[in-house]
Amino acid sequence: MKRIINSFKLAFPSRSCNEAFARTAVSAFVTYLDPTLDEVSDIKTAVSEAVTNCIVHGYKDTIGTVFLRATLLEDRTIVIQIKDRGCGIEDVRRAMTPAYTTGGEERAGLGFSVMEAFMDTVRVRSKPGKGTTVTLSKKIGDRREC
Amino acid sequence: MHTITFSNDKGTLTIFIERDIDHHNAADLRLEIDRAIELMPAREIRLDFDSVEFMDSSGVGLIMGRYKKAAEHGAKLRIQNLNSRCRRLVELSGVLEIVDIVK
Ligand SMILES: Nc1ncnc2c1ncn2[C@@H]1O[C@H](COP(=O)(O)OP(=O)(O)O)[C@@H](O)[C@H]1O
Ligand SMILES: [Mg+2]
Repeated sequence: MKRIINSFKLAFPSRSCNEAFARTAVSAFVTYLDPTLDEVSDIKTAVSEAVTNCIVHGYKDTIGTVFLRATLLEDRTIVIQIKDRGCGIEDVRRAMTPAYTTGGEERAGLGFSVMEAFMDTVRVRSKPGKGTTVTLSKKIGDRREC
Repeated sequence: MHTITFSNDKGTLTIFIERDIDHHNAADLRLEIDRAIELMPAREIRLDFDSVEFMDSSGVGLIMGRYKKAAEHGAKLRIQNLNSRCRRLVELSGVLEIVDIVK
């Protein structure tokens, strides 16, 4: 097991104004590892996608609680878990296909593709009727010269 | 707080997006951009991203939707002044198959 050097948890109602709050909180938290602007932007974008999915899809016609947990590991990896107790996903593999979307309203169906492109790993666990947990991780480069 | 400003010059309507684009902001942006497109006939519509620090895939949906809206009004849609991070997202999305980046 890699040692955890820091962590935080958030729980907030699934209101769209919290999308900016969640990604900003994570970007402030990862600053400790001295990431590049691009690395911060990748993480913010991926978090925005996952949190938006809880709000738009997981809690489609209701307001529920979105849970976010972020952890920094000693090997400079940030792990972010984003969870809802919403409707869940019937077929995760299909949901992750580029351009697949069940949401009208100009969704591009690219949320999972973006998470996969911008993070090192993306894991999705979901149960219809129970909810969805997305776990994202990314190792932050070490720019200290030797 | 305004979300867009625009300039209209010789058949080209340039719409400057003045805030970050996520799902929360996309709804207002969509309404305001569409209103501008309806009110100001143009042959070309340019969406300007100079003030957009951050966007996620909601921005790609916004671009695709405005492409369709512009086409309904007989106009071509182009995008410009994306920062390197917005540009990377747009490149990854495949939306450049239908919309050109002009600068
Ligand atoms: N948290 C979630 N709860 C329920 N369904 C989800 C969730 N996240 C994603 N999905 C499903 O996966 C599909 C694809 O998601 P995504 O790639 O982010 O595209 P988009 O959000 O544009 O639809 C969604 O349309 C939805 O059907
Ligand atoms: Mg999505």
